[in-house]
Amino acid sequence: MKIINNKEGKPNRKPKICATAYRVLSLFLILNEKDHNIDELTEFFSKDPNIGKIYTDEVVIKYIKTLREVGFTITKKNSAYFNRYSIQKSPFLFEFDEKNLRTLAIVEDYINNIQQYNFKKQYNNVINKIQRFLSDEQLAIFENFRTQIKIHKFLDISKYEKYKELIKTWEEFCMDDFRLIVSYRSPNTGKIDKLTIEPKYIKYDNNNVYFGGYNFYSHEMQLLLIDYIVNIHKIPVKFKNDKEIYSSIVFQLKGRLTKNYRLRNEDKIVEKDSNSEILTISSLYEDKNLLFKRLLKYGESCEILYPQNIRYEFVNFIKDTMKNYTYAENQMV
Amino acid sequence: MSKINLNHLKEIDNISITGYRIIEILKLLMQGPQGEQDINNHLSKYSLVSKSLSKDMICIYINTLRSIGCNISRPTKSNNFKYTLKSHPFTLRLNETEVDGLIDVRNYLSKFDNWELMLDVNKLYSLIINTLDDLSPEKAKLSKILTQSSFLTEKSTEVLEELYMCCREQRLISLNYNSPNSGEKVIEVIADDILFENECFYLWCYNIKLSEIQYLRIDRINEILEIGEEVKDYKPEIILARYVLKGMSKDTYIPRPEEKIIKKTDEFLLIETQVKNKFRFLKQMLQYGPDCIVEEPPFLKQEVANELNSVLRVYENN
Repeated sequence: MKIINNKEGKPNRKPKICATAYRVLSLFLILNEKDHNIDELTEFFSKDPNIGKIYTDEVVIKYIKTLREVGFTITKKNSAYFNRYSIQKSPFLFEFDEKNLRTLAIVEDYINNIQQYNFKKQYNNVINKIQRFLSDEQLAIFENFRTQIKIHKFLDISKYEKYKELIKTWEEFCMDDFRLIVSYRSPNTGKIDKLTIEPKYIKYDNNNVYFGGYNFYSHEMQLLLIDYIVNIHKIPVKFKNDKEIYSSIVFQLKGRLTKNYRLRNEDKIVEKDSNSEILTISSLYEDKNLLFKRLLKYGESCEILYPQNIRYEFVNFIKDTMKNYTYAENQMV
Repeated sequence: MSKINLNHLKEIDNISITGYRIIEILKLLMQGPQGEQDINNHLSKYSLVSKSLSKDMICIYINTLRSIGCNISRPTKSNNFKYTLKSHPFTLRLNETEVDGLIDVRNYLSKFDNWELMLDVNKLYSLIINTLDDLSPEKAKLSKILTQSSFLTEKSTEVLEELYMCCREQRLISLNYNSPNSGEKVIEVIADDILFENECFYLWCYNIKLSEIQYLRIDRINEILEIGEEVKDYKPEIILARYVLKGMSKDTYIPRPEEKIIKKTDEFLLIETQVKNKFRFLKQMLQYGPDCIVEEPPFLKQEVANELNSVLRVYENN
């Protein structure tokens, strides 16, 4: 190890490195992250504390050629892509077997059937990055699976195609941060309500599609089933997309359910009493109606504690359900 | 020594020999632990970089690789004086948005209740996680969704594959099961089917001792102790039930394998289902809330009504 004195003249035991080799390696790391053009690459070099200098375009091109010589495939995109360099293949390979490649293709086909541009784009980015590390043989196998596998032949996802334009529109709304007036047909009464919604996301549940949004007047999240949307109108009111949107409730589980219940990502244990077999949970929810349906299935082993208004609404939900069995209730009497 | 043609020579003139050398050293280290002699032997195969390196020079290259993020152990007596590459950053790099996209994809796929697909997806994701840089926060984020929601350890996955075979042949099996209520115990069952529901894997089976159909969580099965004979005359008791769905539940209804739609109008669906486990059926009906009315058989309709009364009493008492 070469001992280099620092500015105070004291020995600095920083290990000696080969600066040129460092720059070539860091070039790969930078391009592995994202495509860049020459100007962006020279700027990276100047900002790296281990480099800290500005290099000419010729030097950077020399390093790119070095990477090509050693087995990388690096292409230069045209001016529409700002002349950026892109790694297409790396000599460092992954061990993906045939089954993994098949799953990659199946998942891609599921995604391709979703009418959501950004969702598809993210997965395609991941596939493109993975492909860099596949051998020619693995790539050929993957391409073969891609052409063979068409999941829509055995899966009913007809609603995605049926509501293609609406899904794309909502995706754009989610990026806009403008409030919307959504004309929504109530599934129970058939009446059309006008809801003021701040659009957040799209949720897929098998063949069903929901638009997730924050209801401005009821101050809670709501999932709108796409089948019931009559009309959407954008209003010139921007909203801040940084506030906490999910409401929370506190409920208690009792008896055997305290041991069987599997915590969800949105759950937090408030209190656990193993002696009396009571588990108190605070949970965020994205739609009140779906929450009620989920908690009702736990029967008398589950009780909503707070907030009071949600507890009251849940009682009405139970009573509405019981109306379906009024005849049975009379029989009990 | 590799042959070099004249055109290639002109190209070579414009590459960094040092850069070429360090990547060849990196490639070699990726194959396994290497000593100084191994490194020089490898480099001698390439005329571009065939110069033999001194011990100090190799050390400088190794330090360069460390400075860029490689974790390389020192050569000691315990590793036969070889450099071992434990981890490196020259692998898949995903940004936060891409990882969020992968998480969303997995959530989306889990709704199809296709357990074979989910197992394959979990394996693929585990592989992707292994390729990510150890220090990246994206690796930790992606790992978390597998450990939190995967509900299947590696051991459970092996058990699952064996159980699937047992179900196909309806075998009598003996299981070491970790019951949340009564602890570890041995139970004898006839394996019927594998179910994937609400992101959990279940084994449908007939409990010999209790004479009832149960569904056991597979992640609670510690071990298959014994696989017995095929039970040829096993015919589970099935109750035929009918229920009506209306409202949003009607419009979002996806039939289960044991169900069929008897009647369909604009207002409702009349569904016939084969009930193997009464408890599960009751939970399913309650989950539809006011959108559902159980019609047949009367005793199941009564049980749903009783259950609703019990729930209401909890709120009236408090």
